[in-house]
Amino acid sequence: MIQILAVLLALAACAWNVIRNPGLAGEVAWLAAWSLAAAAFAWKEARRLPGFAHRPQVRRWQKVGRWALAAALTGAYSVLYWWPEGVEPLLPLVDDLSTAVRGAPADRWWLYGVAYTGLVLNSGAIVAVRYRHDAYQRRRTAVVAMAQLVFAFTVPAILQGLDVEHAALHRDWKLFWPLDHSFFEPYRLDALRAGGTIGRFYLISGVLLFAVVAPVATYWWGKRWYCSWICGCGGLAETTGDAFRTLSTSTPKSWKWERWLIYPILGWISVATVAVVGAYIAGVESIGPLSVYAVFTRPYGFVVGALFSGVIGVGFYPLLGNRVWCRFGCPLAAYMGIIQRVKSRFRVSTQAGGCISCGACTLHCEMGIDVRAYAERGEDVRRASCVGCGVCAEVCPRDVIRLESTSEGAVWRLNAKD
Amino acid sequence: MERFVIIGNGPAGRAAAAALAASRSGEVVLIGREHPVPFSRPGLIYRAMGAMRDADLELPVPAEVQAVHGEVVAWSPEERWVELAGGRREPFSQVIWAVGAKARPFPGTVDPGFPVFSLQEWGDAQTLSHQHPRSWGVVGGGLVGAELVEWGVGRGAETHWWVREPHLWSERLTEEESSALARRVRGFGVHLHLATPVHRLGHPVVTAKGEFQVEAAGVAIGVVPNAIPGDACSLDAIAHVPHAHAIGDVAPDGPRSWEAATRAGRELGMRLAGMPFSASPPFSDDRTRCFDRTVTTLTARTPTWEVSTVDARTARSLRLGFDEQGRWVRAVAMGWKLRSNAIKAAFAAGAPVDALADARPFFNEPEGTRLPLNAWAQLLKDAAR
Ligand SMILES: Cc1cc2nc3c(=O)[nH]c(=O)nc-3n(C[C@H](O)[C@H](O)[C@H](O)COP(=O)(O)OP(=O)(O)OC[C@H]3O[C@@H](n4cnc5c(N)ncnc54)[C@H](O)[C@@H]3O)c2cc1C
Ligand code: SF4
Repeated sequence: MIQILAVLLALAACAWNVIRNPGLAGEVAWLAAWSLAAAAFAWKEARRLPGFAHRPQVRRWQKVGRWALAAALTGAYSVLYWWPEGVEPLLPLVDDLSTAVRGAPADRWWLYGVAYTGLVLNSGAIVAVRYRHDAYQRRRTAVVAMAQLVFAFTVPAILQGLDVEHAALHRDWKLFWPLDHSFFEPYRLDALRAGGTIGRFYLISGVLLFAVVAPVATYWWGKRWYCSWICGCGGLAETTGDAFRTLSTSTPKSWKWERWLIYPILGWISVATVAVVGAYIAGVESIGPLSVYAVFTRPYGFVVGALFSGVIGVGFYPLLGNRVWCRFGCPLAAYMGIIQRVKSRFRVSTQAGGCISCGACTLHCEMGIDVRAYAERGEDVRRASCVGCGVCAEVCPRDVIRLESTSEGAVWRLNAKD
Repeated sequence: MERFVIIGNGPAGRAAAAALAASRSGEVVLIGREHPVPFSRPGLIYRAMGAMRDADLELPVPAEVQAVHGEVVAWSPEERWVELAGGRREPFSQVIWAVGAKARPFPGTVDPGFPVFSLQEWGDAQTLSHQHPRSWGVVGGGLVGAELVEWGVGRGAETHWWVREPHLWSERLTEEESSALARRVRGFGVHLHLATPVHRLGHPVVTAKGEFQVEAAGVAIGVVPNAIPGDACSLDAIAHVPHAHAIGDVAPDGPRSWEAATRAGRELGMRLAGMPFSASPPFSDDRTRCFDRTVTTLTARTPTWEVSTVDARTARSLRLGFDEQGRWVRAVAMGWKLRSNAIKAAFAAGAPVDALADARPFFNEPEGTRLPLNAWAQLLKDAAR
């Protein structure tokens, strides 16, 4: 009841801002109202027993509600991407904030950034209370929410305000190619090259993140270092999306779909990028009769960059779980997944003896991995898709699952393998 | 060509079927009466709570196994067939009885019309999932009792827990640990009544310590083996039939548990298929969870002396047992997940006390893979003395 009232209050605060535009104080007020609503939900969560069994996740998202929510979310993303005028009436929600922080009027991306960061922070607080008895979950949730607040939102916004000349350069620094699919597009490369020291820093660090940091860190800790601890998409999935995690399907068929989608997408962006960079270096705009923009850049940006990662990626949370994009579409996840699968110290280890086949681990795996099948045999889960969220280990009532990053040789295995 | 007929699709039957199917040593028929496919019995509580769907609990069987839904009501060891209700007969060359156990009924009086529930079969979880009592009482202080209590608390019911023993889980925990756990359980609002046998279930519930009013009650006071149909079909009689076998909870060879039943099934299946069975780990590793406290017990041998710490406030405790040579042979951890492989390796090797002082946890693992360093340091210092 209190929760419903708090949400109504927050909605009213938003409506008041849209209609009356009361300025910065009003904008802070609606943001605070949502935090209050989140606190009300966190309070409800705190009164429940910790642990998954006391939360009827499966029943809550009944079919009709799920479809309605999916329709609303996909609709909202479609408006955001393809009908900017539709967003304009909402800009008073964040206009003064934008001027105050970065000295520029709000646009739809600023509104999206505020909403996204707010969602991550508020639902992150609820999730931290939900998993309050597990330090790994508490830490991970805090880090992923802070990464969104600091790197993806606050720092770029402040730098944009301080360095107006290079405002376009200051973006989410931890977002790198191939997830940042336009990084090597001519307009970005031109801006980076013209950006002096700061431009060079972003260019070199962007390449290093992809070419050095990602493989080394993935070898060392598995792709969780990024996917469930730092990434913005992962941040939303692990916080707002947590309530949807049991909807990820774990059938072998879905695993097949996963492989048939994610690796071709990685191939696609790789080919497109090689073409774009090649054309850039050669100083041409088309390769033979093919326009680089029309053939390579634009289709990927539309199909994968907008449709898949946004409209479907978040819009389908209520239908296919909270990692639709990460599981089926993200080329960075595919790239790090290959490293994780081929050579990494990371694995999810299980012990055959203790498993009672309850299936809690499989149900809660947001990547749709049938963890139980591995646990029953006492095998390591070495799957390219595992993002190391650790929830399987958290929910296992027999405590037979653990996340490990150790050099394989040094590990003594308990598993009773037959 | 052999034809293996397995009656009971619990863990024992399923594991035997899987082992036989993998060995391709004959046709395998798996018969179950409760549900068409095997399912996780320990997972039933999550179904009862509404946290899982039916499909989440169901377990796959290899495609080579022919799964039959039905109840076996008769068999002929001489003519080698079993008969299902409805008259269908399945011939066999080897028959495996893995029919498990059923909930022990409440031995006292139950008032007519008073709702009493148990949690043993598939249908029990379905029934419980539709119940929303405002007040609820549970008879029995074992693990299933604890699950039924958590079910009540999770539903927001005023919950009583009547336990016959003076301490919770006294066979696993020390008195001090038991009382820490009891305090924690009470902290969740449960009315825990220790040393309280129940005589009558009804309005009121009559116990050795007074009368209580509850809308419904759960009973979890152990199990009794399911009957093997037929005249005088005792386990002894089966032991004399070379092509008949009994495994799992119906004929426990050790504790009645999921793990023991799975192991027994796999062992028998592989033996019948003429394959060697790998040895067990060098110690038993037993875990349970009650009100978010994991109790982990690693046992290699009976210790001659023990050291322990108990934090009564958080109900976390750690107990280490050593043999006369000072080698580590038992560990009981409540509230700490005792699962670091390095620690287990040291344990399995019967590491001496001073070697344990060097055991270092891994820095980046979920909570519990590391033990509280202070507790370790103190315990090991004490132990070395
Ligand atoms: C609520 C609950 C929680 C538990 N939690 C744990 C736990 O956390 N850890 C643990 O280790 N153990 C746990 N156990 C115990 C564990 O489930 C059992 O020890 C294990 O299931 C025994 O396996 P089984 O194969 O011998 O028999 P069962 O699992 O009992 O299977 C036997 C099957 O045979 C069927 N059957 C019986 N007669 C016939 C017939 N005539 N024809 C056809 N089919 C028949 C029965 O219906 C049943 O489905 C729990 C048990 C319960 C009830
Ligand atoms: S690993 Fe744990 S959560 Fe998964 S099926 Fe086994 S006991 Fe259940």
